[in-house]
Amino acid sequence: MQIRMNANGKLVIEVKLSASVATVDLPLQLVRYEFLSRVAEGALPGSFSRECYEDILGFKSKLLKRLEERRTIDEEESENDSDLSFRIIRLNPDGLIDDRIVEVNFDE
Amino acid sequence: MWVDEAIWGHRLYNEQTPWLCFMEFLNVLQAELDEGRAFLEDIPNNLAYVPKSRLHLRNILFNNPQLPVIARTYSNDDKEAWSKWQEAIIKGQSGIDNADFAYLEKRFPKFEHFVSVVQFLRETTIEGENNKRWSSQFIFPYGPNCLYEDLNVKENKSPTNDRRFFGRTGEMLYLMLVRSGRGPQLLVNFQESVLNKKNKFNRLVASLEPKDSMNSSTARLGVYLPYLELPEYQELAGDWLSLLESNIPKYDVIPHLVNIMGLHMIIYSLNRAKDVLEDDTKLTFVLEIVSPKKTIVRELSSDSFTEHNNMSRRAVEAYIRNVEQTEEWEKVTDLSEATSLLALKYEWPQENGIDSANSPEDLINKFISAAINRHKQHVDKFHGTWGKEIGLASRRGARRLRYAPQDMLLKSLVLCVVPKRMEFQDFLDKLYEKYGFIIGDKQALELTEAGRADLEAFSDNARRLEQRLASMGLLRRLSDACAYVENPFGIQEEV
Repeated sequence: MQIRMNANGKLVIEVKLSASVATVDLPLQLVRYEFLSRVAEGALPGSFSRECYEDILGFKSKLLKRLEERRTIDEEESENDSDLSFRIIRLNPDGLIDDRIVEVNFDE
Repeated sequence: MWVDEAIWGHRLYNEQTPWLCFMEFLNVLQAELDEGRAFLEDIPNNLAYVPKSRLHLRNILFNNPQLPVIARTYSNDDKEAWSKWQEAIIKGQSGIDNADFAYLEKRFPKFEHFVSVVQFLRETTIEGENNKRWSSQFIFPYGPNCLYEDLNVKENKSPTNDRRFFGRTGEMLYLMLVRSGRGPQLLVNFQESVLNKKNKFNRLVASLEPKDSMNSSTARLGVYLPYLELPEYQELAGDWLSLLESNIPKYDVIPHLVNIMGLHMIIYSLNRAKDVLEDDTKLTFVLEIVSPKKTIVRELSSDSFTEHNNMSRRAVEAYIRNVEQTEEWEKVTDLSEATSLLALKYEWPQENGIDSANSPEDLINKFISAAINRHKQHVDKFHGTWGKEIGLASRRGARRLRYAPQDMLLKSLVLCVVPKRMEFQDFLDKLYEKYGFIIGDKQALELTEAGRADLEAFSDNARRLEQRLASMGLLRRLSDACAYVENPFGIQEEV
């Protein structure tokens, strides 16, 4: 993931999931940049309009879509795995990430 | 009696929310797919399908209050945790004969992993935390193993389908889509998401059930959809395909499918009422885009809502009064012939049903009264309940219910209707053409010409919609006179 200038001279956050799929870009305007900075600091004033939030949701959906493509192309999800493992990510009461791996032995 | 059913089918059920209607539909579809009959109907209204009960899964997820306590108490002793938990669940479970949960210990290397999985899946409960009985809780449909029918499960009794929350509206939805003729296309799309058993989350859910679990559900029959063909079926299927074939990630599309389906069901129910009332004017809805002050549009949208809310009751009365116009009724000479005729055609009165009527006319009046009382229990409430559920109707800022669409519905409409980019006025035209929505001054011409409002009120209304869509990231203004609605997941390239 990097911040770079695109072909039109605009700053974007560029996420590249793998060599096999195109990047997903989030153009950065001042308001969006401020929004993201505030979220990173852990507090978001209500004066930001929902537009920023919806923009990020849209960006998330595009990333998920690209992830689906990457998985199909790279045949990652070997769907015959007898091991299912999941990373369950939660926020604990202190606002810190709690990341645990869960494994299931199940072979249909 | 057979009045509501003749007009709307068996049945539209207000206590079954759009989400649960969708879940019932998926159960039907999967069951039919298992029999190689997905979206096929040889003989009309002959649907007989066997859904799954999945009682092990459901007891584990929703009838398992001891789990967190046991996890905490025996956090350092997996063997003891498993043993104590199995004891508790075997004692507390309902609906399973010879319950045995030993298969789980081999599948989860650590008890805490089992607890995490249960907690995670509970968080995907449809419609979130609610007060429904445990056997009416549903998880998100990641795949076929997540699908099971609503049941009444009591201790020491066999589970029964009491049609409490799966009231057959989902079965009617299934038949509507079958009859749209676009089943095969829909199936292809569903097989990549909610019907894909290889999906990782689906396999996770499958791991909570024993390999040879008994299905205690039997064949479900009896759904009835009177109309073999209707344009509404095509419209619904077309809208679902627009959503499914756009770029929205597979599971994210589901809430939008539910909203749009809810809208089409409301339109279906109102149009059937209009048919009985012999009203062939276009069905229209005056929508207020919520404004801080009360406006004339708010009043008109309230009136629009109220008119529609009363329509089904008027249709029931008209339907029965139509009996009086028939030849058979004209031939009736006395009360007992009248009674036999009604009983034959409408299954009313029942044997000991009513106090005696004085004459055929009096009998008809009693019939209307009985029919309306019955209608009021469920079908009458369908429009109001579903209107609120999909975010089409609300009381926001006012006392009366009216058509005031919420953001989620507006988003669903954009994602469904806008190919990638559409000029704002064209978008308003399209909403009017497809759903009868009156938002801007152009669509409100009939109302303004009748003197009920002025153009400015509606153009303000449209401007508020522009602002709402812009705040949701769905609209871009290029200049004062030019705004485009944008679908971030649209696939059609600009012409």
